[in-house]
Amino acid sequence: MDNEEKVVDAAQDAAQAPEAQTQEAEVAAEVEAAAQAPAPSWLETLVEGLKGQFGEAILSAVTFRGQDCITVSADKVVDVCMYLRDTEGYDFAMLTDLTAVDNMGAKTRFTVVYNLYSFSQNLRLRVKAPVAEGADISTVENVWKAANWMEREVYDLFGINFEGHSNMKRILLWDGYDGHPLRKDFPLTGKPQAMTYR
Amino acid sequence: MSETKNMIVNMGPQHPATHGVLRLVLELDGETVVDVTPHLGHLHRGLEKLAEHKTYHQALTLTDRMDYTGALLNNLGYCLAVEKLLDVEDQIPDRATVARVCLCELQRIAGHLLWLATHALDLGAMTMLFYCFRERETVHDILEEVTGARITPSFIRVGGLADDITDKFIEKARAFIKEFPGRIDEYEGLLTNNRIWRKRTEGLGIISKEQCIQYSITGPVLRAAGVDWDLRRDQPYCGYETYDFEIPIGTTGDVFDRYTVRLIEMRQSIRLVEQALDRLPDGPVMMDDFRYAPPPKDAVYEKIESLISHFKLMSTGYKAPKGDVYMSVEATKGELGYYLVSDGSEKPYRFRVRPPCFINLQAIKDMTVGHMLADVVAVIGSLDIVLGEIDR
Repeated sequence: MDNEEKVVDAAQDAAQAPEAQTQEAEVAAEVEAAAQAPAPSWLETLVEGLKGQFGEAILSAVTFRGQDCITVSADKVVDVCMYLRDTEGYDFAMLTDLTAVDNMGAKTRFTVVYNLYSFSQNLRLRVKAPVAEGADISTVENVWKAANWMEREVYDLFGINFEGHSNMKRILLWDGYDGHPLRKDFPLTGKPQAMTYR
Repeated sequence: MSETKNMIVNMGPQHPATHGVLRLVLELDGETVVDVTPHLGHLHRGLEKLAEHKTYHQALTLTDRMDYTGALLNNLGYCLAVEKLLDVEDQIPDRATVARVCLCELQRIAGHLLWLATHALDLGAMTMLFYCFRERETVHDILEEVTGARITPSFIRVGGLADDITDKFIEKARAFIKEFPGRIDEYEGLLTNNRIWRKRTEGLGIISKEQCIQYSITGPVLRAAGVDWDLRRDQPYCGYETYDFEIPIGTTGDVFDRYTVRLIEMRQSIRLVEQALDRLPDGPVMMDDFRYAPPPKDAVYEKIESLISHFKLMSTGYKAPKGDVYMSVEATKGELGYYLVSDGSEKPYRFRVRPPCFINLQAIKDMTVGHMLADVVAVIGSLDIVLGEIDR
């Protein structure tokens, strides 16, 4: 099957999951073999602008099935989000979705995924930030209010702590619940729980 | 004068006006709302976790059970996401695509009717419940005719539809769209210029455009606030760009505007159903890419290859290429998105639902503070929440 994946600009990054790296290498080989198609120019320009501003913090940019995605280091994620929201020509005014993925076994265990939408450009962009187990990531609540509950959900189900969040409490499960169900090492059948919920 | 202090009132989870098992802790100064704290999760079933342990085909049935008033739309969003991941979007037969639009718009009407019935009942208009449920029953009969189920059809499948749509379905749907505009006139006659209705809904639960975007609010609530944005037109799927329909927008963003927007949406859905029925082409309703799509049933009975292929697809499932996709549809409540991450196996590595109700509900505090306790009920109704989707 012909993968339409194109690596637009992939910086060598030690912090990224090894799995993703091999995937990128595969894709790079594929792109070389195939005739070089013109890359979506807006993403290239975006990455260029971002690199000028944040340098090494922009780890990679990938287009898969026509969907654009950039990976940034977790400590710069708030600044990058601010930039994406406020820069003319991008205006990613809406945080469509915020979630996380557990890459258990990879070097950095979690990836926090931000799905952004720009009304003025009618564009979507996915921003990923790798977060190690036990590490914190800054909240983007000050960029988009909607992040409040979404980050609480990620905290509840993955156990990723969002630093600076105004109300970092569980949202779907009750306080005192043992474990974070969407982690890959949490059993599907659940764990016996003490019912601390009133 | 004696000293007063605020009172904490617990509303729900067993409260008819919270549309499920939503629990609100309200702080009241007399009858005025000072603070609202929603407590969610009473219906949490770990749907995303469950889906990670099912094949792509099996996980479809879980999507029905999120927003159970719009199950076909949930199916559609999921199937489009998987089709994007598999890169088979071009192979979906035309008949299936057109039928999807037709079914989904009927489902949207049913969803909006349930909203109108319960919202009006919450505000004391009991007749509306009976009227709306009468029509909703008709829509469900039509959907049952072809899908075999009323609430949880799982009818839209990856690659097309589970079965061909029947002539009887088309006949019933045509009869319904002919009759339904008159019914909407009836509802409007009962409510739109009703003084009680207007007093209960106008100027209430106002949320501005900017706030909506900050809170990522989508769907009719966003449009009522005056943002002209609908995924069916702005990020079209299933060929919506080729249909002729209008997108209603409100001006003030209050409860009444949301009511108006949804009523117009129902009228537009009728137009869409009509256009879809008119252009319904002949042909298959499932793609013939047998890596992913099950072979036709008669071939399964007659050919050993088809039997093996069917058995393989239904038991172990198919492997999806590595990667991640996000695909969303305009559901009755707003943008319903699916974010799928595949690690190259038969099961989704990560199955994330972007739930419109969960995200819309977040703004409830901004909408209700300063209003009366009874207005909280009106605001909840106007948000059109379904707890099956909020808690997943």
